[in-house]
Amino acid sequence: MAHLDFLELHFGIFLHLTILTTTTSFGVPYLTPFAPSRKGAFKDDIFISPLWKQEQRPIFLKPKNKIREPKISRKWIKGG
Amino acid sequence: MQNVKISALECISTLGIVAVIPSLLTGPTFTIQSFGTGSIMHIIYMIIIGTLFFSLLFGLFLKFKGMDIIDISEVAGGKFLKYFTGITIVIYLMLTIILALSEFTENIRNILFENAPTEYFYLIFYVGILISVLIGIRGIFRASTILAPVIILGVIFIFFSLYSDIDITNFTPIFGNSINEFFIPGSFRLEMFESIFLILLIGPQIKHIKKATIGSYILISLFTLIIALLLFGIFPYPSSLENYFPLFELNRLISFGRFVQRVESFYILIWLIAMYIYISLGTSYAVQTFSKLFNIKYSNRIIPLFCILVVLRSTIFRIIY
Repeated sequence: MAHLDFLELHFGIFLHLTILTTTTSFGVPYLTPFAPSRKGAFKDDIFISPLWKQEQRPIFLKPKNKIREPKISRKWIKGG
Repeated sequence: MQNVKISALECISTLGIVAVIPSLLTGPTFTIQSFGTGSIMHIIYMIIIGTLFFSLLFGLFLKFKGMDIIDISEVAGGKFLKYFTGITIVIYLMLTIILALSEFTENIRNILFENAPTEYFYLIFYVGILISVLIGIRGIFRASTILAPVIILGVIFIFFSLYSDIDITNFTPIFGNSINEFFIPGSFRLEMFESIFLILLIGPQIKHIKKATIGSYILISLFTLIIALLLFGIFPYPSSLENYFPLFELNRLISFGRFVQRVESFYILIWLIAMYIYISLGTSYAVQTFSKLFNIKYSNRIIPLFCILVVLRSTIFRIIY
């Protein structure tokens, strides 16, 4: 079996991918912003914007109020 | 059919992966056997013909909302046409998977695992297919959403690293062996778009079907065009007939200086996972079509049977080769 180490590696990666993508935690898919992909997946998951710019709650959690903070949260700064 | 909703992005990425597999195997070699140096022109010609054909086909198909090809055939020709279409689809799916698996394992064994016994290959493929089909198509579609960007980047990387090696004289004479074979008999060669026919089966499960169809058609056309441009441009006509693992041959040519070499081992990783997705998807739809035809309520029971059929038939083809 040692000959097939490369093939078994792929087998493992593929199985992990399929199992992880179907796993859910409290009804939310495990790999959710990527698979199933959502709008704005790259916005607050790979590249995280500063706290005062994270204006919306993650959609995949299905929150009652989607807006986390107003558009201009730092009122003491111009354009903030 | 499983009651699963598939997003347009999942559909596009899966069909894109399925479209790469024939190029990975002997698909381009068959094209060049028929059309010689005119293969690239033939692919452009087929994209034009395909646009007309698929716009007509899917224009008609989209009018039957919530119905797949089996339901439509029942409406059109009753029970007889339903069973005829269903059985044809199951046989077609099984045959394509079996041929692809046997060809792929033979190629990969020649390249990487010369001393390994083939039975282990089939055993590992069997377990992989079985588990993924049992998990369901949702897992396969979502796994392909993660893999598709890697494949797209991989194909773009091949193009930008090898485009300087393309020799335009390899495309001449532009109509290949004969103009008579090029236009009228050549217009039926739609095998490069075989993955898009899957929409006829998965249609009712897709959320935005029009978007998914157009997106996957564009992606498949681009993939095929880029791979064909590289394959037929780099390898001259008579020697390109001997390519039995064409994309691997291309990957072997990639090298940047003395340090970035042997990139093909990374590509093997992508192609193997893509192959798993291709076979699992085909098997799961063969099972679903079969269970829909014969009203089998618990289709999980027949999944091991179909997987054994796929794997054992592949070994028979290996013996014939």
